[in-house]
Amino acid sequence: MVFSSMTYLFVFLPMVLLAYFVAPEKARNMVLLAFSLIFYAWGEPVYIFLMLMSITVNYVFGRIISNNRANHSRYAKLNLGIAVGWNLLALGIFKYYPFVSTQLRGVGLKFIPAMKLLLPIGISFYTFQAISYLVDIYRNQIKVQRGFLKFALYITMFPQLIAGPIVRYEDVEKQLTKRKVTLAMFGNGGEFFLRGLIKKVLLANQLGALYVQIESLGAGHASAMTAWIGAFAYTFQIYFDFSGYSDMAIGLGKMFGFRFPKNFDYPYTATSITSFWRRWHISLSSWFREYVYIPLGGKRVSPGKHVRNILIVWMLTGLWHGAGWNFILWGLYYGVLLLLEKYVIHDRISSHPWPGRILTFLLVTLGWMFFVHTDFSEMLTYVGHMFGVGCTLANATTGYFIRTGLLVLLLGAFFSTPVFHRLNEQFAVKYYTVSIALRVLMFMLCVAALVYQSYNPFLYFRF
Amino acid sequence: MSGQWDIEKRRQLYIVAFQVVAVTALLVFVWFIAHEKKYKEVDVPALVTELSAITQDEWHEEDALSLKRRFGLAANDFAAVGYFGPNSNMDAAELLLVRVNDKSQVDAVVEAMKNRVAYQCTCFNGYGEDQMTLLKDVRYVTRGYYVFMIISSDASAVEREFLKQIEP
Amino acid sequence: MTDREARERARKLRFFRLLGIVFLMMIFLLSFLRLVWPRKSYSAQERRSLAQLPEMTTENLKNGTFSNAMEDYLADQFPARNVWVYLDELRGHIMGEKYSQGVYRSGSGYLIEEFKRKDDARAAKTTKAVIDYLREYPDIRAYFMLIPNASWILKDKLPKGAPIDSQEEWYASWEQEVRNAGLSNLTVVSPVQTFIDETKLDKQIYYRTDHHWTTYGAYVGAKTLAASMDLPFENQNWKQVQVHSRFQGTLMSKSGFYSRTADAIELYLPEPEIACVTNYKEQQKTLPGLYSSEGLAGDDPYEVFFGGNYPWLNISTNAKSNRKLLIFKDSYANAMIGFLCPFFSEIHVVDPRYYTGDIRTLTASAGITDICFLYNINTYYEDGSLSLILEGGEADE
Repeated sequence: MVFSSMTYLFVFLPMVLLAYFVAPEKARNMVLLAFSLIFYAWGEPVYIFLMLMSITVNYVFGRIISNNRANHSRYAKLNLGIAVGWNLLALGIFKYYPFVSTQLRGVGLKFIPAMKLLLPIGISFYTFQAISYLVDIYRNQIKVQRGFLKFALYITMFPQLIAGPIVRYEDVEKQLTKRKVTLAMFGNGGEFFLRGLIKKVLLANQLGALYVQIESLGAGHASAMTAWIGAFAYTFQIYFDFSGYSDMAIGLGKMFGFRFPKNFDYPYTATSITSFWRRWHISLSSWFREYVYIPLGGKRVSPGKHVRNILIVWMLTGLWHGAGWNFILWGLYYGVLLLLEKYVIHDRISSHPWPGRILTFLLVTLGWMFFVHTDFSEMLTYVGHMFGVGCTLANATTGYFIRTGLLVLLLGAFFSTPVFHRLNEQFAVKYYTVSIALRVLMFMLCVAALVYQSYNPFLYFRF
Repeated sequence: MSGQWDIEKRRQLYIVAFQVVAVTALLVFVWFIAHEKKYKEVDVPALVTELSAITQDEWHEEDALSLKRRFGLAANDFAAVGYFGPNSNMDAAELLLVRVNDKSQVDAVVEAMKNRVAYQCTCFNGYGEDQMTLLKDVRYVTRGYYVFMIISSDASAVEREFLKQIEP
Repeated sequence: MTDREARERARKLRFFRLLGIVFLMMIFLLSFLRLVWPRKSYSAQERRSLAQLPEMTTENLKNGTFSNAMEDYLADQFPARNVWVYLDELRGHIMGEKYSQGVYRSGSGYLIEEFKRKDDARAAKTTKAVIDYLREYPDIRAYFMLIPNASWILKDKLPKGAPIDSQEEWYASWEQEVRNAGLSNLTVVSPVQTFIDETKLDKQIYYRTDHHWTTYGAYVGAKTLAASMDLPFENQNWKQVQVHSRFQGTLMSKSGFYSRTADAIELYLPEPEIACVTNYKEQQKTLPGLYSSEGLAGDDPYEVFFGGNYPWLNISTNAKSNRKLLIFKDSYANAMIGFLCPFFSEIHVVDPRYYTGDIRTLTASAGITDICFLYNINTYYEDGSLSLILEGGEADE
């Protein structure tokens, strides 16, 4: 189930709110857990067993590691290894096996069976949460969770279950036992949720439509500038889509008394690639830093090894986003950019932020075009168009897309900066009524857009 | 002293047992998800005839030529085919059950079915509201060697009965 | 904390409290309305039946179709659904959106369907099938008339630079193909120039919100065709009757764009009157005349012509003529057939999308003297059914 759906907004959400706040405090974890499992099972019920298995395995291993870390650290390490291996095995089979087996069969290893496996939603997120939990116990950074219910809730909590943020155990440890929701905190959660919904439904979806229209243009209409307009549209789309989802998760967390970490910090205002990745999907990049990069030695090693570490981390980051060569390419692209930034450019760029900001934004935009095209020849064609290969610089169609897409692109650019956020806060406190009315209006527009999605008199593309 | 050692030993044994169970459970689950059940081999045309009687849809049994024309599929390529087509081109109800020789054929058959449905939709869209309703409720059921397309006023009932019949 | 900061904080808390209450109200109010709102079974605007509460079975729960069906149901049955759709359309309008589901919002209230050259091969196959078929009947006079769509004739009204493929280019290559076949009995009839001229005179060839041509457009088309057929069209008088004044058509339904304009539907009745009887062959019914008041009253008033599309119609007239016409057509022809009735004693109308019979038997048995292929370019380009019925079963083997 996704948050931006009728089922969620008008059936699931009212039910969980009602059940949660009617239930006595002691039963609230149980209520959340039950609804989280329903949320997860909706649409792919069979994977609920995988989820329950994962919870049990990680719960037990957590306790084994915790019991042995003081006196039998080697034994604890062995168990950590097995537990992490188990998680990676599950992730590997369900997420990467179809890709890997296709590749291997493609080079002649026909004996490898091709299994049809659907990707369990959210598996990349909750697996990473579980691994961070186990490692943190081993490192003695957290206390083991003895309550099975609470641990299960940590893994499956529906707000962040399917699209993050990847919540570290220490961030929610106390709240799992005791948390308070005030009306103001609930309202603050509502503010985040609405912001996320607006980003997703009103911005991301329209930008996505613009990108799809440009992406599917016949050869005769393509031009370099049109291709860039499309690339910008996608760049903003993925940001609003993803950060919108994180905002909704954070907002829902607040409504139930949880404080999740920030996942995005205006990444498109970054002045360098390094800073971009400190602002984009923060919970993922810090996970990789904490559990892969630093254990590999980080940068406190010889330059040769450092290069190796960076490339490993970024290849894995790419792979995490999906099983495909394009994701590996996209990850390595960032690895190389970061190395260039560190070893070649570092302080040579001017101290003024704008050149760096613009260059970073353009590089990120280009990167998304590697990310979005799973088919390499399509990728080459599209990226080629961006550099004027096989098409003109601009044509009449470019004008059309400027006229019809400019407004939504400008809105996208504007909402990618902190300017709006600051204004909004000041305005909201000053003018209650207008602010609330605006939020109601925006919510209605979101609902309208969701209803309109079902407005489909000629539905056959659905088959 | 030895009692404590025993307890420790037993605990370690439990842990080893748990490790084994954890990994086995995962592999069993994967097998459960990925394995294909063996379905019963049935008389395909007879089954389709039987299924066609469940609803009052306007359809009749078609020959291999219609299959070729409408789906681009040659009946000889498959182990068995049962096809009920619409009584007139103003009807939309159809049943096509194919038992493939080789699982690699499944995708192509489903593809052909989808093309057929997409084509039917272009014929009826904007004109035939009832037909569009049936077409939108199309089911593609693939089980083992069976590929089954159901366009019917009660697709669920047909699907249920079909699954019951091939259940081993 | 200074006083001012404390006041700020208090105001902020109050704001969020208020927002919390409003948020809860919105969610619960809409959820409640949704529960009690009466269910509808049909949307006239979209011309489709609306999703109903799906029945829950272990099978559809297991394979996930239940959740999709549930989402469809909730969206289709949402309280005051059309108002929400309208609201979103308004938002799109303000945002400058010009394109939806293959339709462009264009000047003067026109909605114009795009033309996309996805697959030239299909149309080429159709053209070849037509030529091969006509080659078998060298004694029958044949006419091939493709009617341009609004995206060609009204291209000035399209949003500037809209990425639409040129019908003109495609048409030129098609015409070349037909001419290369060298059939002496075949005439290509093109109303393009007349349409362009008429449009310059501010005559309305196309409905603003429907993909069809107006009856006037059909009249002009018929005049062009009649000239090629050597019919005394100029001698015929027509009485114009307006039968619908607020016609909003398929393109509005399809795109969800609200056009603030509406059109009139007119009929042109021959004077003096010609008696016609339409035999709906596969439906086994015979009705007087060409027009259907039922169709006019329905959701698609364009169905005033024959009540819609049927596999095979046979129209007999009391016209003093020994010519018999066979038309292969799409829905554009429905508006035009009336103009041909005074000149043929019998007209067979075949819609290949629905026709299942053997076309050669029909051609040979009915004493046909003229054959006409009458399509609008969009349908001709996309539809594969014509080649299917012309090739027959054997061609595929």
